Amino acid sequence: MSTTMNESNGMTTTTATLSLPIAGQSDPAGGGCCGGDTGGGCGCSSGGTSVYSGAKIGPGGYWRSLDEFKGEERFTAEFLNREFPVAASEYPEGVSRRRWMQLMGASVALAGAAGCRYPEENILPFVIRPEGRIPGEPYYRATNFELAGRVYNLLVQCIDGRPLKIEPNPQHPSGTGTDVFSQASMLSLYDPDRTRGTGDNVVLTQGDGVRGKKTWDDFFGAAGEVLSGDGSKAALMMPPTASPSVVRMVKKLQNAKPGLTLCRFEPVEGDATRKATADLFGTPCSQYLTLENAKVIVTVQADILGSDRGMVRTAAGFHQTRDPGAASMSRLYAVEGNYSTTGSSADVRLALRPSQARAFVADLARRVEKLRGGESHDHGTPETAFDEISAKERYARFVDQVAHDIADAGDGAVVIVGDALGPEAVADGIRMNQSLGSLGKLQRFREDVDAELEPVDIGELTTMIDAGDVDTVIAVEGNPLFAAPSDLKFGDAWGKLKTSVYLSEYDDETSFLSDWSLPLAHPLESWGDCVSDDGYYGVCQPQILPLLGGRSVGEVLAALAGERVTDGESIVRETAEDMAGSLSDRQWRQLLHDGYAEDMRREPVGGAPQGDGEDTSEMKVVVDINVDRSDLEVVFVPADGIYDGRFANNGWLQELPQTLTKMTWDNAAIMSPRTAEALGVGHGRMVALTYGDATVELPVYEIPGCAPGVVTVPIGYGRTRAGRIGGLTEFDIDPVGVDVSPLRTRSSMQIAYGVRGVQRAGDYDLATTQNHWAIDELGREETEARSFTLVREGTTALLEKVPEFAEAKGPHVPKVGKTGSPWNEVINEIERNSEGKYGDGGLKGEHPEDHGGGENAYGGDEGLLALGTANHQWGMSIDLSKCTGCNACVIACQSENNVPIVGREQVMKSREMHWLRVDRYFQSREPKDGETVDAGYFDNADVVQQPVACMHCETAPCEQVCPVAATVHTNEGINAMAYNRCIGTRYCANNCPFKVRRFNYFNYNEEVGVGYGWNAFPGHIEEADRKLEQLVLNPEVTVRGRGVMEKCTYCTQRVEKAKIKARKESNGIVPDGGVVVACQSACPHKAIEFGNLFDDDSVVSEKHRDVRSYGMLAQLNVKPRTEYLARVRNTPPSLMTRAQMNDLAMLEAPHHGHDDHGGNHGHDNHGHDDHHEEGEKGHDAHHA
Amino acid sequence: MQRFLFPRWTNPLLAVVGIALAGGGVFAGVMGGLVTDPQTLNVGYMPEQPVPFSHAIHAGQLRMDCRYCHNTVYDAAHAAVPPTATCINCHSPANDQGVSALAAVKHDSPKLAAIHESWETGRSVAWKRIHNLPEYVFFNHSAHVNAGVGCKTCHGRIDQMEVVYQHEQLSMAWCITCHRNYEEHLVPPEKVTKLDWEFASADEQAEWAEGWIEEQHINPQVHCAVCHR
Repeated sequence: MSTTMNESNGMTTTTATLSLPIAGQSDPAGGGCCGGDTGGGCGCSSGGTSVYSGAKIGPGGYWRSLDEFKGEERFTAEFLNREFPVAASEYPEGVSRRRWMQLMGASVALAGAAGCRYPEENILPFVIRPEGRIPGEPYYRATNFELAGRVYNLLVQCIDGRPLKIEPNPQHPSGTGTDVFSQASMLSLYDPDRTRGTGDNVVLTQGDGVRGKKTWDDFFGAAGEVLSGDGSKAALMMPPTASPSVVRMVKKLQNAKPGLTLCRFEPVEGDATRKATADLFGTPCSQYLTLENAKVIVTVQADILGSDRGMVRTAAGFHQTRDPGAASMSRLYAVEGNYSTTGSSADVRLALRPSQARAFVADLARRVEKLRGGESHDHGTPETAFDEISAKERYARFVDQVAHDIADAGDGAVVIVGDALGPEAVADGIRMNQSLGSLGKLQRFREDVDAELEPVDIGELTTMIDAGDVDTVIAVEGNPLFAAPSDLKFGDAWGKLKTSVYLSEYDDETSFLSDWSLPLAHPLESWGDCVSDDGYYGVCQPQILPLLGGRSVGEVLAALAGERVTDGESIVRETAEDMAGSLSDRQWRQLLHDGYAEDMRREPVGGAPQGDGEDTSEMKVVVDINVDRSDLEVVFVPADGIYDGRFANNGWLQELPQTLTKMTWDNAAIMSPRTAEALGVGHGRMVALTYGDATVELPVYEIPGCAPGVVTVPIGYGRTRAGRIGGLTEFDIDPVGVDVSPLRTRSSMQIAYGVRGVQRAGDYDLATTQNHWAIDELGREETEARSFTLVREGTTALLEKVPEFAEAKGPHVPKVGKTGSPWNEVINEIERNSEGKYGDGGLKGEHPEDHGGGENAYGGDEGLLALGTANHQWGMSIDLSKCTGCNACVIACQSENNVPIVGREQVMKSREMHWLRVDRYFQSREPKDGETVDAGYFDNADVVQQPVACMHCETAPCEQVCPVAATVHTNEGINAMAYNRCIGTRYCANNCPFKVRRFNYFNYNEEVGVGYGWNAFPGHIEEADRKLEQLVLNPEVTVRGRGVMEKCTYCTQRVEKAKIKARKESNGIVPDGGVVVACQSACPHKAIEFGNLFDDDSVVSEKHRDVRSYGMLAQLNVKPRTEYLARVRNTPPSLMTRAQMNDLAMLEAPHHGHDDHGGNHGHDNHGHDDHHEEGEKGHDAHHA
Repeated sequence: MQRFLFPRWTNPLLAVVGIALAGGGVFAGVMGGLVTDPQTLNVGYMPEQPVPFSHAIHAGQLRMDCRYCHNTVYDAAHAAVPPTATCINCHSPANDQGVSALAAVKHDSPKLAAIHESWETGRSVAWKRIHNLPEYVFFNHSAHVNAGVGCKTCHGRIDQMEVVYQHEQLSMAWCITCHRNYEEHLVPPEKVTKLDWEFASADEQAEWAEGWIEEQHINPQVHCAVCHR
């Protein structure tokens, strides 16, 4: 059998370049992978750990999951060939049904009772309308707040006093962008699980086993007694803060209670940078990266574009260097053990165990030093590709190339070492940047706002509690009983306290065991302030009064310190006045209005680092691909959605498909197939990880490209008291995912070395969306031989040689006729007006010469687009070179468009409702002649991310099959949904080649008071369990009911709004930039552009004219309005992969002109028909 | 087994049943067709308001501009119902000494009781909504009045209504009819709220409208997304 398979592979290998005839695919009996001699029932789908021999790769070598790669039956049968997976239309049953109902209650929704004509409705105007308030119109307020350690500079969109949507503050000098946490904070604001008590009785106490209800005054009364004297037996436990007001209040409290112990607790990143900078610069600092002019960026176990807290600011600079073609394009190298967002965005990525990472920095520094000292050596151009050589060679080639690039770039090069590697390694990186000259230029440091505080760490605090030196602790956020290092047994210490007080947004694990549980106000409902990464002071102004009786940290501390002024605004204003010297009312209002002030800024720390670094000259990198199952390295990363668990009760974030794994509602032990093979486990099996005395069982998730012996584990899951979304065992709501905190001790908070892995019996169904909505490229024999790739990418070298590579990589679609279609379309005849023209209206009618001919498909007065008399034609462009897959757009879309969450079971049935998904493709080389694909094959794999939403095809296949015309085109080119017309046949979803349509299987919004049909009466809203949550719904967008299809609308509400604004303010023509759609504004990388294609000068028109621009599945003649800019990697020749080298060697520019083609296909010069033939031969031989 | 047969005397009843069925069908058809017609269902809806506010006096006799009260009409989707404070500008209540803070037109009229109560308690006056569109329709006043669609096109001669009632169907067919034949409904935007103003002739209107449409790119659309979002 193996011989057969090798032949089968051999048949594909010589085709190695663009077009890979998919092995066995055209063999109907082969089940997709095996030869005819074994018949259909071959072993390729048996799910073993090392059965890769049925391997087949999608065109271009892209694949979504190992299932697809292996040709697993479950991928083709359940996902690819079906619109929805098996059983996707069944009602949830049993336990899952109960869980599902709970989730539905917790999901999102809108008020609105209509239906019959005369349910009498009242209009309740203000008695005195606030000045400037226009009822029902959105307004924007600047604010700044800190969430999960990140500082955000935002505009909050509010309607009628209700905050609704997070937008970046476009004027803020820190750059503009958002991320998933800030976008999703809107849902947390309206989370009813935050509530404690009723009325004024919002403070919970835990006395005598009875959780009585008390007021804030009761607490302050009690606290006064407990903290009497100098507070020498009390401690205040806090996370790091960027808020000057909080720091000021802490100092006040320390003044009032000189004996108070201050403890700092940060469960995610550790304090490596803080410690390193305290040594180097004499004061603890935070790092921020200004990469606007970077040439070479090397990250070492640092996720600067992903989970690192400076991500938004970093992205603001980084994306400016990612314009291919420009000489300024940067080169990003990532060295990491896990597979991070940064790794997937890198030009070249090297998988290296974290234990070797510091030695790598040392090695790199030595080499750079030598090169700068004048050493030179000849390389030549290697014949072999980066992904064809052994791991050792790969390392040698990589480090040599990086050293050369750094030496060439000088102060344009920066090395960023991740916190997880510890303070010494971080210091090594800083010193290296110092010697390169990029310290203070690309890598900068800002003194921590809380630098002056001198806290103890949580270990010392535990010791003090155990010794009886501290008997009262006031903890602020952080959930220490869940997140503290497990070896501290902090829970035991907590139990010994005489008085424990915990201030947090949720009634979580820690509050449950505290004497006093105090509600913390959400940043959108409280006064506060913060200093942004690059030093700008900003005020956090409340958008709404506290909904659930919470107070801010500053207010509580002020009250504890016995301050006279305890209201948030006064505290913040006093801080601001301290900073600015003085602030008039006018200046104060200006500060609030702008969200920042030019002159209120903390300058970055200057000067050279002090002292000499540790001698690292002896450190050598050991590249070992063998996995020792008792010496695994486990990397703990904050989960893409729920961070360290603090957002566990946020449904949007729980259901967010994580960037690399596309997992939702779960965590897992993520490892490469090589590691899995060594452990004897496979995808979806269980593994037990043992560190010290602690053992945790996790499902295994295999992804390629992780360093051998490295296991990545997202933290924050397994919460038992998160709430009705994230788990609440008290009410029989199971925790989501597995709690891995037992493995995290003081020495292993970020990385645990020497972990033992053992396979365990049992399977686990991971709720992953990675195979969902797989676009069907199979089954078209005619077209499969031509490569038509959904994602197209190239290198800078390729872009230079074949600028049209994006077109060349796609199938050739000859465009004939007046409308650029392969044939004359009926629609054109229909729309032909009396003068025989294809309509001429609006702008086009005025100056048709501006639109004439050329590359612009929208040109001429005969373009298909000139339907009717529209003033605008909308289109979108997504730059794959800039997209990192950070998911900010996904959450922004969910927030803007009232997209519900559906819960884990429903996700497993492929019923997730996200209008915008980010497809993640792995790319690996194709097997060499006769090569057996084994686990080691996956040591190196590249990733491409591709956001996919409705393409708004001009000849939309969905519209043609709708029996009730519920989905129709607007004359501005938007494929619109009229929800009320939809009768739920789902034909449209069946006919959508992009699989972007989503169907409401249930009334996802019912329990929050949104009724449909029978239930659409006002009383229903009153009865709803969780009506607070309906406030998150955008009143500008219809809430869809059961049985209705929905999908991306290009934010048609924003489009209409912009048109109305243009009508109001000018002549009805929306200026470029007048419409900013939700995903576009959220994107920190500015990868998405939206605008009017009629306007030749608009940014989106320019992008569509770009040589890299291509339409997905354009060969179907759907004419997508969303186009992609092909991804370009700035890969140096010596580090090119096989696919990249082949592209460079073989790809030829497509020829233009219709004569060559005779209006049909026939692209014999494309270099892949030959391969196709060979493939066919191989196929025949194989059958013989 | 013996079959059951209806006795012979029931035969005439068969005709009665037949007539009843046929008549019932006609009746149901007529009722269904006419009663659910927007013309029947919507036009003329005239609920009783908490305050018997007369538009005929204010907008008609006193010739107050619509925007004195509905002041957001050029800026917003909603032509906001005025806050109580707007009424109080003229109708402020008298205090114990019988002195009014502002103008005190009819300050002691019992018809103003609800207004004065609202002013004193801080609770809104609960006006009854007359022009009510389903929640999946997103109508926007500012888009229309800025384009030159006069108030009376949809609301009728409010300035002559003692009690306001719904003048038009406000059905989708009615909306689309106007979106397709919009030219004749346009007036200069400064005349939008002048309910009694008219062009001297239809030709004059047509001539003016042609220039205005071209200048302002007025282009009402009839696709779904323009109202349904």
